[in-house]
Amino acid sequence: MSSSDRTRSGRARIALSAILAAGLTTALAACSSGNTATPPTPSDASAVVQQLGSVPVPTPPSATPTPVASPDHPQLLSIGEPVRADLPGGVSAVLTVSGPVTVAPPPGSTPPEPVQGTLTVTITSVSGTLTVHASDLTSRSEMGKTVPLSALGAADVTASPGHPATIQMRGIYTDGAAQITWASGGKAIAVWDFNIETD
Amino acid sequence: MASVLRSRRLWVRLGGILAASAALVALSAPATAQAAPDHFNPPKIGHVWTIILENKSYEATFSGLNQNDYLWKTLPTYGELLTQYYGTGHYSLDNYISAVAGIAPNPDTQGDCPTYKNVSPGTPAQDGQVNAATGCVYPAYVQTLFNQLDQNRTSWKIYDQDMGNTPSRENAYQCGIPGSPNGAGVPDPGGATPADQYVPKHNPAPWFHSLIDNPKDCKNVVPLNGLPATAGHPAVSSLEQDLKSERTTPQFSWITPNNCSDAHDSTCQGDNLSGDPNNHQGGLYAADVFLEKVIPEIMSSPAFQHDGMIQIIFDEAFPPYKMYGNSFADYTGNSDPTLNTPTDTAQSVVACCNELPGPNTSQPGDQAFGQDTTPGGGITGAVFISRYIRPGSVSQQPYNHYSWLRSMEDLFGVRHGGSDGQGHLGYAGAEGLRPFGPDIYNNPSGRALKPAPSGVAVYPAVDNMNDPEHPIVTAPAVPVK
Repeated sequence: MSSSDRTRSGRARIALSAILAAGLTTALAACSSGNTATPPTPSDASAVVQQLGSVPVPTPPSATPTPVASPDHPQLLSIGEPVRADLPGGVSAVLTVSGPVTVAPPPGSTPPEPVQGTLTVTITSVSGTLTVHASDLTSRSEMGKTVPLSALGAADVTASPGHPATIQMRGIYTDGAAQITWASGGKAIAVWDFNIETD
Repeated sequence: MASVLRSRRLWVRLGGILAASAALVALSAPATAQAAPDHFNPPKIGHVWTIILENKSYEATFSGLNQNDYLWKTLPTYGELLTQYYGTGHYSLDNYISAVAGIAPNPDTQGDCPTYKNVSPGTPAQDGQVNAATGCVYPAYVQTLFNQLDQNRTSWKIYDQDMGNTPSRENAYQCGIPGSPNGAGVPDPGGATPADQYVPKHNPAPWFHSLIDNPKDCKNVVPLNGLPATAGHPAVSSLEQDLKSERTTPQFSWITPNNCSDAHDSTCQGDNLSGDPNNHQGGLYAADVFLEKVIPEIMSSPAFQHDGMIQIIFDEAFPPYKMYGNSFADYTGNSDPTLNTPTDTAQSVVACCNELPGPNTSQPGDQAFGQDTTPGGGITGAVFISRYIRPGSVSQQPYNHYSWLRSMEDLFGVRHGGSDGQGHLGYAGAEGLRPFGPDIYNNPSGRALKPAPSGVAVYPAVDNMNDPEHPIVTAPAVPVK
């Protein structure tokens, strides 16, 4: 037997010993794992619930009150969420922005596609008269790019008690998230955050 | 993985010795399937529901700016929040394929399959991958988790909301395919319509001949709300009906909400289940409406109360996915130029777990959104609920869709085949990939616990599955009785 053969033989014996030791260890571990303090789990749901208790089931959270915004206290909101704006002169109105309604990319195109998104601002006056101008509404993407908006229809709308108003704004979005800001008297009152799917 | 294969060949040379050792182990091991000696054994979870949502980053979902209080605030107090769950590519479809088959993105799956057709050339590649320069439908030899469950006699179903609403758009009796993938295929296989918000790209079944050519498997791919009996087809039960008893509840359920309920569409084409037919608000608001209906339905079922686990995951992360919440930190118009530094280029933000690109693209992330998404699909986060999971716990361990697949294979006792010979398909068999461990199954007794504020037990990431966990616990768990 050459020295190299002896070396290989020695390595094989070491490997065999190691494997048998590992096997014994595993076997002992398997034996001991069957003797843990945890009682066996029953085989049907009612017995499990009786032994271990019923997992509590979550219910929907209660509705949150409408946040209030003012020139000194603007609000950051998610799309679709209403905000009550209290403005100088006793004007108070609830506004919300819904959308964006998107136009699907042309068939066969691959993402990401620039997407046309239309946002609808709904104004319901609580007290006083509130006029919203298209120029009061601005948008930028999450990359910080300004997204030009244009009004569909009238560029100014006025809401008074009992006479809500809507204004629709449209832009082309290339990023997946953006925001729309409504300002009054040059001051931001509310910012709505939204996602827009470009795929 | 090549090193694993090489080492396996070396071990084969010691086959006789191993056989002797295995026989010794067999004498003492319980009758149930055992994992490798150094492998964590998950608890006996017998029923899993995986609900997959769409296109939201961790920051978008868990920052509270999306009217999704149920998912963001409520559910983590009943289960565990995974802060570092990652997608594997962009855009949607490649993530679904990664999750159920371990297959890496290809150019057409990255593009959400502009034409529904077979992949070409479709030849086998290293590590259980497939050469696919074009196409989206994989040849019959490509196995999925569902095929593995078939072989393992584990019952399963895929529930697709709205599938079959418009029969001319998709075949609800053949895995929801939008037509035949053979030859020229089907151009533009689908977006949502007001009457039918099912989209094939969010259903994991239509992309594999191993499923769509097998009528027995396609019987398991059903509309969420079932189907009435028609000529030649018996009635198909709904998820709600299946949950009524353990006997009718599949052991594994994949749930694909429609393009509204999965948060994909910002404004839904159709109803968002809120009960107001004029309310088409989508995004995470719509997903919350869906979850508020389905989660209590599942959790009240006998199967869940027995040994169930719910997983709410997302396919990929859309912006914003910086680590600064819904910030606009990449804004470059600051007068102070030091504030204009890009913040989102670190690869660790968008991929994890040593994700490999595969043979068909060097960039699974497709450089989407102008950001460095080269390796992956971004951080989405996830929420898991089970009696074997401590309410209010948080895991910071990175996981991705390949980890998910490996975990499901392990959980259901798949031990053979796959790319590693141990039951893991494709990149789920990648060397060192960590399946869900004791940071996830952190209530091994299964004793039901009361809800707790999210963060009462935080599991920092560890390097190796065998490293001990050191959770930071701020309050004891409280049993319900």
